[in-house]
Amino acid sequence: MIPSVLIYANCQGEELQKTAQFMRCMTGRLDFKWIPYHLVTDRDWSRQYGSEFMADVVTVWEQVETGGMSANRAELHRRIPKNIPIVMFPPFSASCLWPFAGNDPRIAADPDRYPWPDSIAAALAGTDMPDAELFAKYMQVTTERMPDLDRRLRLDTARWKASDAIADVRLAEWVEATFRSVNLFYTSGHITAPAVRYLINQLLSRTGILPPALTRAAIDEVDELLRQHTGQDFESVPIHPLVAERLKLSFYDPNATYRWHAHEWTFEQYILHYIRWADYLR
Amino acid sequence: MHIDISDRQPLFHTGAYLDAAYVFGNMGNLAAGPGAGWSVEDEFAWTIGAESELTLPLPGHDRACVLRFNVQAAVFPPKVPRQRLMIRAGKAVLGSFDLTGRETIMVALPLDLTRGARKLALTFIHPDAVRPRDHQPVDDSRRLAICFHSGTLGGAESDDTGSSAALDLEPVHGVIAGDITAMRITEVIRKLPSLRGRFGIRFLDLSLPPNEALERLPPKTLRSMDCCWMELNAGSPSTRDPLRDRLPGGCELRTFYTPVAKSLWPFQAPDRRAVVEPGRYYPSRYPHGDRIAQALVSMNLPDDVIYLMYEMAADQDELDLGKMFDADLRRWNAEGRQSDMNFADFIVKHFTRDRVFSAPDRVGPVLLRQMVEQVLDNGTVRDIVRPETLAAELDTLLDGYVGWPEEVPVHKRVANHFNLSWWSPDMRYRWKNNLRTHREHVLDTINWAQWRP
Repeated sequence: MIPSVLIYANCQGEELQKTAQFMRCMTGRLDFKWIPYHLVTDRDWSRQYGSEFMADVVTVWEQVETGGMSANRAELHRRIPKNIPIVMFPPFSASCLWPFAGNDPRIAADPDRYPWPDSIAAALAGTDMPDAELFAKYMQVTTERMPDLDRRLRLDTARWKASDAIADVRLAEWVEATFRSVNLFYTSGHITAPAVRYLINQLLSRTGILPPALTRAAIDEVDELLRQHTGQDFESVPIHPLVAERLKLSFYDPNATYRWHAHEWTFEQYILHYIRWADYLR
Repeated sequence: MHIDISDRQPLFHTGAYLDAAYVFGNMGNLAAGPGAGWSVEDEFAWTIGAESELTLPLPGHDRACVLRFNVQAAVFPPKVPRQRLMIRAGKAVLGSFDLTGRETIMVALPLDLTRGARKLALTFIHPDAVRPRDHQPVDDSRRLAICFHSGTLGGAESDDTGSSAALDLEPVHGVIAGDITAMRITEVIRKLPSLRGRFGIRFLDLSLPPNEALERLPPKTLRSMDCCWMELNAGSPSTRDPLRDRLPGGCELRTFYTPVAKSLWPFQAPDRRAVVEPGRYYPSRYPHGDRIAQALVSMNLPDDVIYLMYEMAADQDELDLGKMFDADLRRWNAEGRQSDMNFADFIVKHFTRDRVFSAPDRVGPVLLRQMVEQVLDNGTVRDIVRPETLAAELDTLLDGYVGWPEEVPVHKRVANHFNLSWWSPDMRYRWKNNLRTHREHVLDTINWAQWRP
């Protein structure tokens, strides 16, 4: 039986698992499993994550959540082998980059088409205007209603620090120091390869069951595996140019295209498609 | 319909599924909706206390409706694991819910409540309201129960827009049998609004055993289909022939070849290292081999030197790109003659201006569109929708479409020879979830570097 690291996390855990599974230095030594805490159901606990699943778990990489112990997390702790090491790590999140991520009623009926809501674009839905006018209207309204982004950033920072406070791995300081120069987020919760690399290296370094030489080899492999990797970019929500300006995002390119499934759109294209709730290819 | 956002009115008739859309919060469109028992913030509104009132604008039609709300319950497990919610219209109870997080709740609105009505008064009963400060280190003493984000009003039939719609056979329907290209053509056609419900196409996977592939179609498809497109360079005779034999009388069979290009990748050659690595790479780590890269595999030199050697060898290689293109063209023409669709002229016309191929066996966006247009170029479709409507819908659907995430880099000698206007020396090519320049691709191929999908 090959021992396993169990990753209990949101979809960022999948990135950790996929990266770790590709490390040759771990082949035959350590396996990596993932329980997606945002998706797990009672049925999953009873059918998939029983004692057999847990038997080979030797370490848990557990993503923290603020706001108390959820029923799923309590279930996890009830099931994992006693006294195994747990490395707690925070989730990456950023709300300040998408300040209009409010509500879009269309999501209730069609949740998968554009799952990252934009409340201003939603309010323009159904507006019968040519592209240029519609986009100009969006820009006018968003510019008028742009919230205090410094405050939003402070709220994000406070959240990052609150998560850090209950974790073994710390991200807040690194994110604060990095997010302006390196793109770390495709959406408020989907991350780029540099973020994946930083996090997995931190986790490997804090995984006590690994001999130091294996840890070093694994970190080297992470660098190789993720050199040209794009991270979780299958849905990239473009950043508003005014947000980039106000938050001083030096990596920002106003002409950049953003991947959206089988498409690459500029900010303007994305907004127009979103307002019109236009279908696309996956 | 023009909507002035400054009025912030509920949006009516917002699309195929919805009769109305509601956004809660100061920035939303329901400013006049919440009555007693609310704490309204910019992007949402909390119910406070034990009861809240909401007046909902209605479109005033006479159809049965389903009302949905996207809500978040104030839960603080384990002490407060849920919030109960009852929705009433007058004395009529429309629905009761146990909420444990963010979810969409749904109630059917009786027709006698909504017929011709312009508004509907709702009462929300939520007896489990809590003060956040009692459970978290926050200074919030409001008694919160349910946070309302948004809502929609849809036709009762809008519950059924998904799978069963895919199972309903259209008045005119057929299949496209083939591989990944046929699948993409199917996806495009199925997403064209003017054909929806009137002309339907389904994909039949020719890589599967015939019975297994047919089982994936909705019942009765095979018996009643009007047309079948078959990709002749997909699958094998053992998967194509049984389908051909089972087509119903009156079903029109049309065939096509997906064009393959070799002249854009003249150094492509099998690599002895290219084998399946189970659980890691299939069909191999770098499936498009490069004979010049292979010759440099054993050199233990710095990357810059190796790449310089690659470039020198590529420049000096005795290539006849014109001859290679002629061979491609002959093949495209021959395939056109042997089938019902001919793409050769289109490819020649677009070869320098557009990215017609992104890999030897992957057609680019413009060629995919041409294939779709040839599939749809028949009298039945013309009877259903005007060509200009179809063209406009394709423009929208394919806007920014970049094709499959399997792009093979094109060498500058090739780009220069064919005068490829879409090519640039520093462009990056996507391979699964990786982006590489030509240089990075060559060096990684030489080094057989591992990568993560």
